[in-house]
Order: sequence, then C-alpha cells, then structure tokens
Amino acid sequence: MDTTTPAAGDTAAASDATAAATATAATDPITAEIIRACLVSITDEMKTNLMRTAYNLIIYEAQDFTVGLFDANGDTISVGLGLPMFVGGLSDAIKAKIAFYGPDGIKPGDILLTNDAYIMGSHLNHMIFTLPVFHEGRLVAFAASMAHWLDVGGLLGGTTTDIFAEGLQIPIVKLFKEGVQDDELTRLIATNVRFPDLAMGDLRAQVAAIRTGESRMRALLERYGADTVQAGITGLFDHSEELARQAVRAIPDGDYRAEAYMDDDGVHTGTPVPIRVRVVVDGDRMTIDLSEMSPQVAGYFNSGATAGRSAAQVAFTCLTSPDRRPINTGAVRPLEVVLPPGTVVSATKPAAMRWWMTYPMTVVDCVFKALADVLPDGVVAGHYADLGMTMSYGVDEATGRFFQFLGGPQGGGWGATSRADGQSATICINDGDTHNAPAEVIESKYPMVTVEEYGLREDSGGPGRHRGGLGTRMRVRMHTAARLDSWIERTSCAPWGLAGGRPGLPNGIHIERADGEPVTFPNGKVGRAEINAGDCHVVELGGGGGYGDPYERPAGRVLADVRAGYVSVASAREAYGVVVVVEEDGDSVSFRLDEPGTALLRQR
Amino acid sequence: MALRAAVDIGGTFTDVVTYDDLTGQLGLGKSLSTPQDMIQGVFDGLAAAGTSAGDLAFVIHGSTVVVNALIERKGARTALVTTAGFRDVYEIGRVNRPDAFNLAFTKHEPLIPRELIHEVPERLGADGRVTRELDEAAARKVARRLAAQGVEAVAVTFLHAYRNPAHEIRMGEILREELPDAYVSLSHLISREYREFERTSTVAANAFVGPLVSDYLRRLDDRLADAGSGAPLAVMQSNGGVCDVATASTSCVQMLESGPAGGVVGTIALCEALGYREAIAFDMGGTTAKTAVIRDLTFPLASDYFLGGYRTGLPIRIPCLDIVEVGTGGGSIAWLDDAGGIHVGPRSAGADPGPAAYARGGTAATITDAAVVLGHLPAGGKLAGGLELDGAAAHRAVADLAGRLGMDPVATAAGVIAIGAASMANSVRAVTTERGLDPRDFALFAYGGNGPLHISLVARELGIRKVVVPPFPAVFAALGMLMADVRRDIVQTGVRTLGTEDDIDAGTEAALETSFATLERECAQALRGGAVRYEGLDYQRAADMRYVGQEHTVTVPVPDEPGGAALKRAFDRAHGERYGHSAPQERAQIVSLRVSAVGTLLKPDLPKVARGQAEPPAGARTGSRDIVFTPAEGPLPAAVYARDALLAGNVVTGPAVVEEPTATTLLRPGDTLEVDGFGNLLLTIGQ
Repeated sequence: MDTTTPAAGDTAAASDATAAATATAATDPITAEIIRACLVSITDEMKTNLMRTAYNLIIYEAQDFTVGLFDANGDTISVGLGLPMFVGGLSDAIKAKIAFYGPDGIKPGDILLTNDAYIMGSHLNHMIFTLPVFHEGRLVAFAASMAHWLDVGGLLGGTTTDIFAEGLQIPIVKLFKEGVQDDELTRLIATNVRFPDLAMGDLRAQVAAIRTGESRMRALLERYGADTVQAGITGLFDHSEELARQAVRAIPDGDYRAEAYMDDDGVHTGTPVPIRVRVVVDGDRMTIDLSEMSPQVAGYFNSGATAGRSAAQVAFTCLTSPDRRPINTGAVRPLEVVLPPGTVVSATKPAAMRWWMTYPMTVVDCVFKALADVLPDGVVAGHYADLGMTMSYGVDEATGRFFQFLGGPQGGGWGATSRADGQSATICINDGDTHNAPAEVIESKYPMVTVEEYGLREDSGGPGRHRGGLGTRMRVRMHTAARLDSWIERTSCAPWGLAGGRPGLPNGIHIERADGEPVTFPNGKVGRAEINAGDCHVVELGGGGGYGDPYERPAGRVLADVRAGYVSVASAREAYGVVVVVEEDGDSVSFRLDEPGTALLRQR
Repeated sequence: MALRAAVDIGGTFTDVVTYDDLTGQLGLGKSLSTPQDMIQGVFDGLAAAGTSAGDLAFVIHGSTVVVNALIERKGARTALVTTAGFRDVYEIGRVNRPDAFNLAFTKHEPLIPRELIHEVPERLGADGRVTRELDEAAARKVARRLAAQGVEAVAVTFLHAYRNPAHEIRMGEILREELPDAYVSLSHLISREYREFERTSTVAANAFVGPLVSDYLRRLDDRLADAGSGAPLAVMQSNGGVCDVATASTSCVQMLESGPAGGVVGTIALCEALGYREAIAFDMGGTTAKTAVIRDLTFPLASDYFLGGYRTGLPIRIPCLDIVEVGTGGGSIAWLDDAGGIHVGPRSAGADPGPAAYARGGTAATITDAAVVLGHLPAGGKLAGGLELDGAAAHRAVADLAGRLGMDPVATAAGVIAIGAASMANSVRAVTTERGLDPRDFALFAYGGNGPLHISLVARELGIRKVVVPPFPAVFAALGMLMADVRRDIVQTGVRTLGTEDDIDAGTEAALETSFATLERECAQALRGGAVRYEGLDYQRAADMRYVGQEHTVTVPVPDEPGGAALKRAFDRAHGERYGHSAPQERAQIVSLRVSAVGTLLKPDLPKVARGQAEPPAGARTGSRDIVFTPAEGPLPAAVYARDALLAGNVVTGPAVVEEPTATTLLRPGDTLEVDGFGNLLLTIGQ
C-alpha cells in the first residue's frame, strides 16, 4: 500500500482577522456559525474522499457508507451521509469502542475497527474504522467511517438463520496501533473475504477518509483553540435541540399508533411479521415506542437496537429538522425511543441480520402514518419501502469465469403529501443520495446481461387528490445459465394512502422463460432460482400511496396523467371518476375530457 | 480596422472590452443587459465602449442566453426519440434523493414531457454491435407522429450510440425528411460518454435551446455584417475556447458557462505573463462566488455539470469549466433561524431590490450593507449605473439584525463579513484540499464586482499570501475572452484494461495511439472547416482512468513519455495526489479518452502602465476614510487611492483601499500591495 499523507486543510498558520474579529466570546453567534460551516465542510470532504476512491459499487453508487466526526464521548458532531438509516450506527460503535479500551487505552494513530452486528445494529458487511483526534495531548474527538464491503465471507445464496453463517465477525480491535498497520489482522481479514483486492481497496479508502477528517479537525482546533471549538460544538447541540423542540411543540399532544406488516421472514413463507409503532407527543418531547414490534425472527431480516433507534431518529429528523446541517446529536435529544431487546429491530445474538435494512423502512413510514391525522401537512403517504435488490450469479459460458451481478436499486414510488403528488422512481428511505446503475454501465461490465426495459409502471401510483409516485419495472435478460436470489419485501402490504387516498401497487418479482412462460413466486424472496440462458427476470417496484379523495383531483390533471401515460383510461374512470375519450387520427392520437360523463360519475 | 471586441452578456450587465491591435489600447463598455432583445444589448455595449460594429475585425461573444432559456424553461416544444424499453430514462434519472430527510423532496424536472417521448425498436450492445436493426417503418411512424404533435425540436438518444452512431444518424435523416423545419440533435454529436440518463439530459437540453440559440446567433451574425463588420463571430464555450457560429448552433449547450470560462482563460493568460503556473481563479459577484483551480496553466475541465445545482438539477455532460459555486455574493442576506442562529446566504437580495444600501426597497442586511457599515465601501459612493450607496439604509438594516442578535451593529457587520469569507474559503477548499491540494501553494486571482473587496479575508482564512487583482476586475471575464483560442474537445467512452506497469496489455497500448490519432484527426477536420481562422494547431491528450473495480475515474494528462507503463505511472501519481493513496500493483482501466484541439488566435498584448516610484504619485491618493477591520480595535484611518492613477512599482500598505469605477480593493492592516507593469495589483496578505 502506497500511502502519502493527504494535504491537510491546514489553515492554522493564519492567525487572522476572522479569528481576531470573532474570538471575543467563545459562544458568540458569529464564531458558532463559522465553526458549524467548517464542521460540515470537513465531513463533506471525508465523504468525497471515500466515495471517489472506494472500489465497490455499493459504496460509490449506492452510497452505502457514512462518515462523521464525534466528540470525546462518541456523540455525533457532524455526519456525512451516506446511508440515512445508519445515522446512529457510528456513534454507538464509537461509544462501544471507548467503553472497551477505556479513555486512556486509545492512543494517537490507533485505528479501531469492528463490524459487530449487535453493536452497530446492521449486517457484517459494515466495517467501521475510527481514528482518535488528539489536541495538546488530549483526546478530544473521533473521525469515523463506515462502508459496505461487497463480501465478508459466509454462506453464498440461500437463507442464514444465525450470525455465524453470515461471515467474518470482527470484534473491537486495533487495526493500526499508533499509526502502524497490524499485518496479521489484515491478513486474517483478507483471507476471510471473497474479493480481497476490493476489500483492501475499500479499507485504504476508509482509512484515507478518516485521516482527512482527523487532520482537518486538528487544524480547526489549532486555529480556534479547543475551548472555542468545544463551546461551538456545545452551542451547536443546544441550538439543534431547540429547533427540534420547537417543531415537536407544533404537533398536538397525544398518543398515536399505526401498524403494517411485512410479508414474512424468509423462513416461514407467508407468515406476516407485524410492525407496530406508538408515538407519544408531550409538549416539546416525543417518544417513539417500538415495544410492540414482532419478536426477532428466524430469517436474516433482523436488525439490532441501533437500527431500531436509528429508524425512529430518521422519522423524527424528517418531521423536525429535515434540512439542518450538520446532522448532530442535539437534533434528536427531544426524542426518546422505547425499545426492549429481542424485537426484529433490537435483535440479540445470534439472530441473523444479513438483510437488516428492509423492516426499519416500514417502521419509519408507520411513524408518519401514526401522525397523519394530527400533522396532515407534515407527513407523507406510504412508499414502496424496499431496495428491490437481486443477485444473479454463476459461471459465464463465454469466459468460464464466475460472476455476480447485483441488480438494483431501481427506485419506486413515494407517497403523496397534502400539497403535492408523490415522486416517481425514487430511492427508498433507507438510502439517500443512492444512484441506480445505468443500463450502459451494466452492459459494459456484464456482457452476459441485457437490460431490456427500464420504465415507469402505469397505474402504480396510488390514486388521490394528490397521486402517489409511480413505481418502476426492470426486465433483465441473461445470456448464460445462472442462479437468482432476491430480497424483495412488501409484496402484499401495499403502500398506503392517507386522508382518503388509495394505496399504490405493491412490489413484486417474476421470471419469464425464453419462450415467454412466466414463473411466479409466493413472495419476493427468491432463493437460488434456476435461470436458463435466454430467460428474463422482471422486478416491479411499487408506487406510493395517494393523498386525499381521488374524486377531488381536478379532472384536467387526471387528463394530463392519461395523456402522459401515468394513468390508464380505465383507471381514470374507475379510481378518479374521470372519463377520457381517446381519438386516433392517422399518425396522431389525442385525448379529450368527457365533461358531462365525468360530472355524472363524480356525482356519487 | 484592427479592433477586436469581446462581448459578455450577463444577467444584469453587458460588458464589452475592445482591443486595438495597432495602438494596443483597451476600451471598456458596460451597459444594462436587455433580456427581451439581447442583440440590442450587444450594440448598446459596443456603443458604451465607444465603438461600432463597422470598426470590428473580430468579435468574441459570451452570453447567458443558453442558461437563461434553460433555467426559465423558455425553449422549443421538444420531443425525444429513444430506444424501445427506455422511454422513461429521462424521467427516472438516477433515483437519488440528495435531501435524505426532506419529505417534500422533488427530483429534476425533465424539459420534455412524457407524451413527447417516443420509443423506436433498435438496439446496440455495449461493444457497439447491432443486436437489433433499426425498425425504419416504426422510426418513420414516430417522425410523422412528431410532425402531427407540432414539435419544433427533436433530441435522439439511442443506447450505446457513443460506440456506434449509425442508428442515430439514420434516425436523424428520417426526422429531417419528415420534419424539415425542426431542430434535430443527436446524442453522439453532443456527448460520447456512457450513462444514458446524463447523455439524454444533455441532448434534450441542447435540442430545447437549439432553435432559439441558433436563430439568435444567426441574427447576431447578420446584424453585425449589416452594420459593416467583416468580422467572423466567434462564440465563447464552456471549454475555455471559442468556436464558430455553425458549431455553436449544433452544440448550443457549450455556451452554458461562457462568462466564467472567460475569466479563467484571462487568469491563465495573466499567469503566463506573471510567470505563475498554478492559480486559483476567484470570481465574486452579486449572488455567488465561483472558484476554479488552474494547474500547470491548463484550463480546468470537468464533465459533471448540473444545470440548477446538484440536488434537483439537470446534468449536462460536456467538457465544461470545472468550477464550484457558493451562494455568497454582495447581495447575500444575513438571516436568523428560529432559534436565533445567524446564517449568511444563499438567500440573496439579487440585483432587484438589491442590498438595503441600494435604496431600491431592500431592507434585509446583506454583505454589501455590512461592508458599508464598516466603511469598506463608502457611504455615498457611486456604483455602476449611477446608483449611490445609501449609508443610512445600510446602517438601519444591519442595526435591525444586530438588535435581534443582541449584538453591537459594528460587531454584527464584521461578523457577517467573516461568515461570508469563511463560507467562500470552504468552497475554495472544495476544489483544493478535497483534491489533495494545498491552497497555500497557489496564487489567488480575485475579480468580479466583489472579489477584490473580500479577498484579503478569504486569503487569510486559507493561509494564502499571494493575491492578484487584475485590471478591470468587474469586466475581467470579457477581457479574458480576448485571450481565448479556438478549441474543440472530444470525450470518447470505451472501457479497456491497461494492466500494471510490469504487465501492460499490448493490445490496449497499441489501440490507444490509434484511437487518439483518430480523435485528433476528427477535431482538426472540424476546426479546419470552421469559419474562425487560426494559426497553429495543438493537441492535448488525456485519459479517464481508474483501478479495476473502481467506478469513478481520475483524468490523467497523457505524459510525454510514450507507452502504457508511463501512463499507468502517471495515473498512480494522480490518484495518490488526489486521494492520498494509490495502488501501483493493481491493474488500471481506461474508461474514456479525451482529446482537445486548440487553434491559436492572435492575443492582445496587455497594455503597460508607466513606471513610478514606490511612493504613489501625489494625485493617486484621493483621500482617507475610517474603516473597521476588527470591532475591538475600532475604526482605523485608511488611505484611499484611485487605481487609474497608480504607476508600476507603486507600493501601498494596508489599511488602505484602491478604488476604480466598478470595484474596490481592500487592504487590511498588514497587507501590502505593489502595482506591476501591467497594472495588476499584487497583494501580499499579512499574517
């Protein structure tokens, strides 16, 4: 490994007018704002660095990573997303690391590593690297990065029912001791993963990112002094907390509940897994109570308590501080999460966790659903709440080489709000700035794959005064024999509407043989299905729920939806009570509103 | 008739700079832009510069015409034709949600509605092989349908057309037969990089503005000719070069960043004159500050431009000036959030009503108002367009903000300036430290109407000592356009593995030379056929490279030393520099080849200013005013100089200000300034 020290954003040399102009009081609003902006800038830089140098697509396209700066207690100062549902994962892991080594057991240059599923709440692919930041001999902060490694060993294909089948478990260790990489640990890790070159590339990228964070944080400390920076951070926490409390105060007090269900746990096919959420608002405090969630399940759809708390924090942040940066610990202080151990979102060892990310998304949507009546302008109808991922793998007949083609995420429909239609073809709430894979890139990388169709699903958006966003369909043809796995959920519990809005279409997957014969499945969790050369698999992701009575949608907007092909003529009539007449004339097709027919239907 | 003119139409002003080849004199003109008839603005600007079209031998034109049409969505009724199965690529986009917690998030909004997007059966593989022939009957049916739909422009994107344009070319022929009056734009002529959404978005934008822009350029060309100009019209492009009207009419989106590109070209020209190779170009105007990094005198290009910003914007995939923008400008508003936290920008008072000090109805405190309160700008001072700075209005706005903060107005004003400087410094870090570069190694060029006023504080934030304020900073982009060459770029995607230094793939190595030579020939052919004549032709080669397994690439200039091993070493070095680590033992891939062809144009010799002593001439000092730099220290008396009276070799020590009609350079205590032979203000920033 060829490592050069990244050039620091070292501004310490300049003892300048800004500092002089503003150092009058440690917590004056000017200095606070400058420090805030610098903290955001540091985690932005860490993020850019990691994304651009990572070796596997799950990091650079799916943005399955999170970087951040943390105070000496492990509380979040600034998080660079990455993965929204991991918003609390780094902080919890750092707190565990501090507890393990004790405050004096961590030295400058140590890089602490773990992928303990029960500490961070998610699957073993998430490697968390942490570097302490020292200033004048004192440990004052941490820089950390989590990134999803493509493979960490374990069972390939099929269902796991405990953590031991899921691959390499790394307890809290020091991969670097005072700046020196532990060769033995490194070899142990490289030996236990299927793509060691990729893994070591990602390791280098993660280490570079936290070193960047550490050096820029040190520069900030040297520039303003530890006391001023610390006061700035304390002020940031308090300020974020105050803004969040103001938002909670605007929600009527009360005790609200909602529930939904997941298809199954992948082992007991067809047995629904209940998601039950209770939200209590009391003045400027909110409690999200997840104690009635399903107990942990046999399949690998469990997640740990950190993920359950993070799901509650994601919902809370959406409701209270959607656009405030940096994301920090102060903003979630008004939230209490009640979460006893042993549920599907607080699973305990040795629960299987490989597909941890699906259930928490429905938890978030249920929080919005619970508050729908009292916060009509602050919530959103249900979304398709899934990544829609598939994996095709086998030996390519053309080259004789093993390949793994990870399909997705292709995006689905988001729920409508009281103000607007839902967004079509957009990534689910587990993820943020996650990108799909362009067909041209897929086909360049995987010559055995042809993407035949990638489009919006007509009529998949839930009808409503505001229509839910449309889901997508992707059809992929394989030119070689392969096996297919998929992890698609919510094939029966459709994304719900609110305030009289109707549900969108749910998610689904099927296979089409080369001769066109369809093969269907009881749920969306396909395990080692046989694909012959020439067969297709088709992933259909759901639409969002509608908002408000569809009969209240202006007929002109329904006509525009028909003209664009978002809504069919039949659905315009049945769901919206709008009669659209199609007129074909040679090369042109036109659509016309039948106003009397519509008025008649809409009389009810 | 040896006058050359650059005309830069901006949002508020049209700037004209002329250069007389015989006398070496520069002429300047500034007039209000005329969005309803931009061509009139060109002639107004020429008149303001004291010249007329009949005097011109050469005209270079930059304009916001493209960016305005796209942002305001005032383009043609445009359709899109694409591969069967992929109608929704443009609407689906990349499915990302940059605002992760915002439930009201909205995606990019396509320029073409879905009912005007049609599929045609045809298909290519990733290697360019035809796997399904173009269905000509279906293609013609679509073309007739479009004619019936009354479209004015058609964009065509077929999958993998960057590898084989045959189907797009045939589709274009059919469209021209059926819609002879429509503007037709084929994706492979605008972008040959893979990723279908980005290419679709690019060609859609091009078609959307195509009829308007090609018509505008043709009329301007005609009007100039009618007015007696024999000058060929050259159009400034986002790649830092100019092209002729025919090229600009085909590739309209290349005009997107023509103004900022002019400023960076000018910075490079000044670097050459001053002997610098590395510089940061910093352009601060009324609403934003833009930063570009120049390395080794090379115009910085990127191909990830988003029209309207990353979050909800439309990607335009062309070789385009690599620039970062932050919403901090003279009009940026200082505001308080619900918990009393202060923020500056990106909310802006814009040009209308503008800062409170403009006395045109603005009441919110802006950066400009803070500058007036501190004396950085003089109350009662004159602005371009005859506006006078209203000190009382600025004080009222800042005092109101200070009252809500519970702070002293002067400390508040200093704070607003400091927050603005810190955010601008952070945006400079985004193009320096985020790329492994230390900003202290660069000279900082400050221009734009507000650059020279704030640069000292920004430089201090970054630890930069060397700052250059060029002549005529407020019209520097137009001046820079006069320094541009004719230029054409091609970026061609074709993924191939190069290998490691010790194990270079011989096939790839051989194919590289052939491919580069083919692309160079193509560029040369296009330039030779153009209306703008040039002297010599130079080529630059670069490759977008990555390690096998990575997705993102680093653009590596192809080294002089031939061969794949040297290229691999150059890539390892570039990766290490940018990201802090590299992997020489791992195989590298080449994703795209880049060729730039540059045809040299005659440049102005920058006029010299007369040499004087270290002490400025007595007439240069026009007065003195009290200026606050740090509130604790209170106001300090600062000398005021008139820039046009300063001579080469004059030295000015801060605190001081140097004034010119459209810009003010502020020296803080500890800063010194020396005037060089070209009239540049060379600042040494105090520590």
